Amino acid sequence: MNPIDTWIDTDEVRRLAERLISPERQAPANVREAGFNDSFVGFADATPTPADATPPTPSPATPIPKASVFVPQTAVPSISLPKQATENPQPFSADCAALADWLHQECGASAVFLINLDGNVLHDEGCAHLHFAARGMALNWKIRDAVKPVRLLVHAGSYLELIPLNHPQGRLILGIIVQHPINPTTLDHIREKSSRA
Amino acid sequence: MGKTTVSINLAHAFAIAGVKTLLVDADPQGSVGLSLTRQSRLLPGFYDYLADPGLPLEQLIVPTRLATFSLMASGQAGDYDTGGSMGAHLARVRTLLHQISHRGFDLCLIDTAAGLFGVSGDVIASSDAVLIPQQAEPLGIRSVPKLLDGLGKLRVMNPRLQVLGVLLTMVQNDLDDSIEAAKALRQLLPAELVFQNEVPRDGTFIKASARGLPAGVMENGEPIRKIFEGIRMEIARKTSSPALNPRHA
Repeated sequence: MNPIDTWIDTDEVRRLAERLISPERQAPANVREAGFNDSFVGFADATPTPADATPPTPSPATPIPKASVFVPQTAVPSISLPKQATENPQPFSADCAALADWLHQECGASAVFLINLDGNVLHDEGCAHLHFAARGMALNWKIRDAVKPVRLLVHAGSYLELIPLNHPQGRLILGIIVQHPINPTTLDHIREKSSRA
Repeated sequence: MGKTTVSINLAHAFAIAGVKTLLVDADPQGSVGLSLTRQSRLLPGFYDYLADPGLPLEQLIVPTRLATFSLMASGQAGDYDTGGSMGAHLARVRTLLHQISHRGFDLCLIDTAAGLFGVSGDVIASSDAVLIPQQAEPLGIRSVPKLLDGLGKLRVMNPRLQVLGVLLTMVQNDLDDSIEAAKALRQLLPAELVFQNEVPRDGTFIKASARGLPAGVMENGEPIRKIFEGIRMEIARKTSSPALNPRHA
């Protein structure tokens, strides 16, 4: 008897294997990646500096149009979790999009993603390559029960803020790419806004 | 016998082919160093660089009698959590690899700790290619699906990562279970994802380790040297890199 067939879903393994031998994905030319790149310099201090005290505003000189954000071909499509019928009748995915729009306008976010601890993607704007790390941190690190966000300096002038959210949908991780660290006041606004999403 | 033995003998195969090779020990247990250099525990190395990126590269690189073969020990810093969160050392790993490349090495072969998380994940997320040594026994092969899934996710972080394939190790041709496990894996995976060459279970590896040598240079090590030369050529074909096949460049 085959020693592994009884233990392994062979179709699933072949699907995973085919994915690994697919050619390297090429990013479209002239687009700016929203997350890690070669100049990623690691974790940033989670304490905002005095200069961060004023709410960041989008810089008109260096906007990152949403349309230019690279979405890998294997990005997981957004999904909507089931919601109680008695609650907000608007689909949850629409709520996520509205929250993202608000983050773009009010916090100068250049890209936003929202995932849950199971790795399901509720909203994404070209950050699929960050989901694995974000979820890994959520599962293995202090962010799981943290109140404060975890901040990574993606590259010069670009931060990834990972904000744990207690939401009726469950524990969620909100990722925001911003030019300046988010100050505590703005963070409170984000939590309040997201709790209504 | 798995990652470390493959790393040492594969690095040696590239080095004797004329490829300027650096073998980095990124396993906190320091198996490469323990195998090849008796004083490895005294050497600064990979984890010391992660703790202090200001360490000059020349203090970390240990030459060998073979001009094209150098080592970097795991080092003294021993408080790293290899199963922890990813991304914590990504920048420093990438900086180290850039420095190694600028130093003129054609190949940097890194022996990581088991698993795809923590520092090992950061190394894979910074690398051009990954090779997966897999013991030819049923229990180990059952972990392959999880491994493939993890590598798929790492490719999202590092789209240029090439999965060279699974290399069957500790193959025992006198043991039916081992033969069946190897055969089953080949049936399960696409041919291009499994190396044609296999590494047998062989006492020569243990004798070589005891003497601090790659198995291929032992008196009766010629068959093993040929196997790793075959693996080297498979890798050179898969990557199409002239730097990894200098005799044919």
